[in-house]
Amino acid sequence: MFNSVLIANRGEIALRIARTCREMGLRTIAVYSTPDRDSPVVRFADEAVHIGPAAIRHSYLNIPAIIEAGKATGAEAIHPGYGFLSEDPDFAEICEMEGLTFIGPPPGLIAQFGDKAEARKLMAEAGLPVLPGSERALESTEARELADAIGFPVILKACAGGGGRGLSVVHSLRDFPQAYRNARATANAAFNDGRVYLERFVENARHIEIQVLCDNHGNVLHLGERDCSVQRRHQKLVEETPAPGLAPDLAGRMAAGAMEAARRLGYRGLGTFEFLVDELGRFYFMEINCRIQVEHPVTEMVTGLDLVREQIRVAGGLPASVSQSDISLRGVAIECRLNAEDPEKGFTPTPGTLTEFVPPAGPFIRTDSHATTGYTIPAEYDSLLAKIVSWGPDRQQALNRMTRALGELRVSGPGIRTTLTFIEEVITHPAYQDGKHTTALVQKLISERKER
Amino acid sequence: MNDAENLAHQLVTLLRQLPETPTRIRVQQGSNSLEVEWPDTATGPARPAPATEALDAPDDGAERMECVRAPMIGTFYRAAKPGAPPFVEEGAEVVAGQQVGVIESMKLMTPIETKCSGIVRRILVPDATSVEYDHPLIEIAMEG
Repeated sequence: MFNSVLIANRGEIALRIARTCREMGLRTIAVYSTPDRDSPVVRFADEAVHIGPAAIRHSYLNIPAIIEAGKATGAEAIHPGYGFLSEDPDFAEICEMEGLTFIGPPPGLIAQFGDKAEARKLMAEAGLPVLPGSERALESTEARELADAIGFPVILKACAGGGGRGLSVVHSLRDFPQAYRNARATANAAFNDGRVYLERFVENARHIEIQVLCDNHGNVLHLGERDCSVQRRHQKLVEETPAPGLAPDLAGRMAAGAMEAARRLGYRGLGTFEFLVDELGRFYFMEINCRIQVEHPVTEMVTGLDLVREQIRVAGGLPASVSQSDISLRGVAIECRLNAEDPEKGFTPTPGTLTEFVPPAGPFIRTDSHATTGYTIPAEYDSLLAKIVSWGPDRQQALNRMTRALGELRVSGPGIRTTLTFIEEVITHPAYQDGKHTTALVQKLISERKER
Repeated sequence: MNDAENLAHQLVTLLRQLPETPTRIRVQQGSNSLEVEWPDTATGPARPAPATEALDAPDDGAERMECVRAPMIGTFYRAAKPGAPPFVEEGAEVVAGQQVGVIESMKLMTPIETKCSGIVRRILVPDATSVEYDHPLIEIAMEG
């Protein structure tokens, strides 16, 4: 087991990881870009290294600078957080070559699952159901023929995509050629890899994911599911566990399928198996995320486990701290993401300085945030400002606590808008209150807003 | 000519034709890829390798000082190799584009050049010091 961890990330997740490292007695090293020099994690960490300017390819994606920072500070391990280099197999491999423990799955697994078309094929072979679609990247003509055979709507996905990026839904054969060209161009620009594949698109779906944890001692655990159906343009806004209103054995069958696949493929570390559930209650594998996820706190609230601690233990060669029979899922946890975006203006980001930031607190509320009064939200990075998490012994209490917490939250500053009121509308919407919401809910809400 | 010589030759020819100095070139021979990275002028404080920045200028007519800063995290060396004479000493006269140090980062040596001409007033970090991005290295009193 190592004694020091460099955190190759920023924002709320860097601070969240640093907190667990401190609790575990590990020396923590933060890295930061120029506009993040006053970020709380820089003050919190034992050491902090300025690695580059604002542009992420010169800072948070700058592998030589991060490795150099690790060596200069004597770091023994690197935690990549989410986004940035967290699922870059080259980075994981370079860390290992340089003698730094990468806190995540081995590079070979990341590469395998990083190709989403390949992951789909592997999972189908491992016995998980997948939506009708392609087993590999497709050229224009074969893609059009396959789409026509499957039936519209279909969804085009970047092979190198993930995290809800590089997706485009096509509703008719007539629109297909243009949509295919756009999807390729977008994939090329975003991931430097223009390959795309396709699947049937499920319009009113539930997005359910299973959290797994695999150590190097043969233990394969599942930590329950998360419902992430509240999405805008494939970006999650509200997540909860357990998933409300599913058929009694459905989540259990999905978890069993995920564990079986994880076992067969020799998965290591913390991972998330994402599924779609259609209106008839059939589930389909979508992708695997080889990282800690933004929405991990809801799982922590119902399991009592610190997932970052488990990740660190497993990377350090220790077994998971619990066995499957020790894990009991208690109550209901909900997470709302507060973004510095203006819902009235198409959710455009609103950078600026916070003149007031008072996070909610009180019974059974957790706020993960790097924001404080006086904090300046940089224009260069994503707009996630805070994650507010509530817990209750049942869904109604968890919802009541969340409603109360969102009412307490105070955030303002010149030019700054947030998604707060939009989130409040989501969780008070009858479909959400009844646990009958699907991935179509947010679009419905936006249309209802326009009619007012 | 073998493949490697041929490639090197082509690269030199290409470099001569480039309109400005790139900050990085990546060449791959199998399937022939070539990536050129240009000085990044669009991203605020980003600086190409020859980094020089004005310090807070004194307004009493004193010397105008500029600072050579680290363009990357790494280890700053004052000389090309151990035992070799330093690129510059305090009091030396330098011209824009002259090498004043070197930074080793991931086993790669990046020459550090001054963007302005003048007199070296102070060397701010000792030889073989680990420096972060944007760290001030050498103070130069500008000419004129």
